[in-house]
Amino acid sequence: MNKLHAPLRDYLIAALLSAGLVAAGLTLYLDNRIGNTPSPITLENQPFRFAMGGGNISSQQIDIKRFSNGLAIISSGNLTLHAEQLSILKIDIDSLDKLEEIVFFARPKHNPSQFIRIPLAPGSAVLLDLRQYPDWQGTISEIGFLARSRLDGDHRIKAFSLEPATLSNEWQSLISSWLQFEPWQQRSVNYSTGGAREQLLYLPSVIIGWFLLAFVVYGLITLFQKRRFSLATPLALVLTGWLILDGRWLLNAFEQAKHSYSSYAGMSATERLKQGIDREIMTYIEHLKKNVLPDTPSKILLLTDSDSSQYFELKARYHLLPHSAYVSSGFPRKDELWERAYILILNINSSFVFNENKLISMQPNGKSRRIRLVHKNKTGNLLQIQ
Amino acid sequence: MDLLRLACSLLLPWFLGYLIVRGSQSSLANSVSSNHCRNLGFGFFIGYFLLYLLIRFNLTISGELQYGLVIGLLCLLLLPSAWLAFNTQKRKAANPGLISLHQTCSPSRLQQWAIFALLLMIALHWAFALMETLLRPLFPWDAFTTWSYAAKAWFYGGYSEFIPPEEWLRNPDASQFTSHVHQYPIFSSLVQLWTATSLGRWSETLINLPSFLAGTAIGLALYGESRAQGLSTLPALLICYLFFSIPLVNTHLSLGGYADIWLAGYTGLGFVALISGVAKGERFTIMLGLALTGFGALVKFEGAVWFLTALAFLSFHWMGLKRSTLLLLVASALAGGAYLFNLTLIELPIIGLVGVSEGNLYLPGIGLIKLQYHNVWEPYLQNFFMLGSWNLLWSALLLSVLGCFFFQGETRTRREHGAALLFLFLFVTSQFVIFFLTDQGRWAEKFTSINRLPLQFTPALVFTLVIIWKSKLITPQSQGREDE
Repeated sequence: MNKLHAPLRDYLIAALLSAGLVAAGLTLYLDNRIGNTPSPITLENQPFRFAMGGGNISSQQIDIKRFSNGLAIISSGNLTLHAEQLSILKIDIDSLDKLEEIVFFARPKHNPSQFIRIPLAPGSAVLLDLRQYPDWQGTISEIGFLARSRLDGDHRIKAFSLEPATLSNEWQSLISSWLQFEPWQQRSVNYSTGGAREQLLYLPSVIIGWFLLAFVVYGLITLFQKRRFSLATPLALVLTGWLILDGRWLLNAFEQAKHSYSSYAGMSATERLKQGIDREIMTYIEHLKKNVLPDTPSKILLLTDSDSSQYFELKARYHLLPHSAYVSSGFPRKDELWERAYILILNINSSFVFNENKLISMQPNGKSRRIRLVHKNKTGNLLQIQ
Repeated sequence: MDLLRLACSLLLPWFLGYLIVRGSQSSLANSVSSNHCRNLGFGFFIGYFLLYLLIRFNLTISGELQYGLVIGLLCLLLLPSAWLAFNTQKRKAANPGLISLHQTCSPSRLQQWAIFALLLMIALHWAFALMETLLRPLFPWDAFTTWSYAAKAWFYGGYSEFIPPEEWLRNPDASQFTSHVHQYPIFSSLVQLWTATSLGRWSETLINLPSFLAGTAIGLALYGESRAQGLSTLPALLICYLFFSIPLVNTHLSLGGYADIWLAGYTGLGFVALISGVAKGERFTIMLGLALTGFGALVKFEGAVWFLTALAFLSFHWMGLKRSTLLLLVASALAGGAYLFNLTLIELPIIGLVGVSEGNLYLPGIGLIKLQYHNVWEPYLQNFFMLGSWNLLWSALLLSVLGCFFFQGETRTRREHGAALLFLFLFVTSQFVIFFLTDQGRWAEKFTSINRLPLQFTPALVFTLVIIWKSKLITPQSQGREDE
């Protein structure tokens, strides 16, 4: 009986002792990072107001309802805080998937023209350790939130506090960074951070440290008890680590599945395409294909600037099919302008300045070809070469 | 009705591939330890390669994809394949190694619970990925810019080869399409085109069903091959679970549209077959591996490099350690001599330029690669041991390699460990050359290909764990009994 349970006993001793050592080590490490502890800043003790957009602000929550030019800015007004002393941001935001972007911003006192921008992750309550952002330092003279959305709606900051680092906060921050929901992003097919984008210590490295330490503990047990080193225990330890990391991944997958289900279930193919940040571009492309472009395939040159990520242009190119489109950051040469072909310039990327008059006045080869504006709205300009 | 037609169109090539693998090993091989899961897993990729060839043939003769013709040819191929596979008498006589998945001894109650738990975990991963596939419209960047773009263009506009952007800009013809990567292989695009044609409409979600099936087939092949190696249900399921629980694998199953999961089938499973074949001395399995890695060259460009790696694997294995080392020394001496005499670049008839010139490496079939040192240790450390893309795969592999040296067993085990280590050595060397020594290093710094290229080897990397720990995982009750 004793012999049967020996590997299990060894496993438990090694795993628990090692976990205890890792936890103690982490506690010491986190404790070392704690400095002075001033009072936290919360919605109750700090009056916030709308600088752009509108909604309601109470001591419990901030409701963002209106956007002006796609922006809502909520500011604390003038204040003085030391970034090193208040470094734990706790926040809970609702309806984030309808927002294009929401950031927590801070204005450094020594350089008021620059903003520190901290993108906020969607989903449930999050706890961020701002010390991971290199810019979060020195004296801060203003804090607030910047939300971006092309449509008005109900968005709510349900809880907010900027707190000093305490040991409890440090642990919460670390665990929260491991468990933070990581939604599908374009980088997901390349890598996953496994939680928050910035983490003080990544969970896999902690798990690796744990099982390596457990190997040593197990090695010492076998050495002192003069027993044979069995591979089963180290294998079980690695497998335990694997299961812990997989548990985290499955939690994330479950959250993602809920998110995907609420975003797409029961929708038609067209409705699905109009979800999230693609809504505007899809509506626009659908309108062009239905009402402006001919039924027969045409050639369309999507003009953009070289600094653009080209996300919307490339999405437009895909959804413009069967029209044959190409995204270019350079204006075509004179011999590359074909009769009746289209030029599409999207306005979603605000950095691209479109000089309509200059483009229309271009006459390739100095001959009879002209470019006319076929369709124009807030999303884009469609031109045709005559 | 559309969905039924789609299901038939997607499952028919799979079934055909299954029959071909099952039938050909019965006919060609004297003794191959196999099972239905293994045949289904490998068969999927053989079947889809055949589908690809038939579509290319169809496009060549008629210029457009004709559903009826391709499905007819697939059905036609079913007949001889079924005859080959179900010629039971012949198979029985020729293939005594075919084992069933039933165990001679029942697993204990604890093992039964563990099996149940593993099945549940695999099912969870599988279900989440399937849900994302069916709900979320095409999402990843390269999918809507490259792979699926081509498929959709051909579905709506008819098949025509993509032309370079410069040509597109000069040409007023609106029926031609262009892309910066117009010369990319079109395997995964044609599979998506096949899916849409079968369905009769373009679906932003269902076009990714084949990639999801590809991942499922890899899981089946890993389970089957682990069983064929003599593992019992529990450790074989564990290997299958390890594969499905790698977050990057899960992501590519959930967000279809990239070709990497296909290459994981061709190159990854190809190497599984090569390692297994070499370890067990099975010629058929080696041929299967070589064929799969060869087919991988048509899926993505890097597939050609992995095929050369597979050839190197076999050459080094057959030559043995001493002769391989001697060959490497001779090759190094020749390269040194060529450098001294300034003969670093030669042009061979048919093959073309081979060698190094002005900081560029010229390789036949691949072209020009810019040589450039990139110190990418840190990206590797971050991606493999800190971030969440790989779970503990790399730590497990590192420990397993160390384990190889500490726990050397009998001659057979040493041969198997030798095959696994040779594979890992070639894998590490290939990644080192690509990311440390060429301009591809910038993709390592951006955390992109540094993960996606190893993803293509994932089945083989997970299988290496089987090979290394097999002797410790096999219990007397693991051995299967002969089938039928």
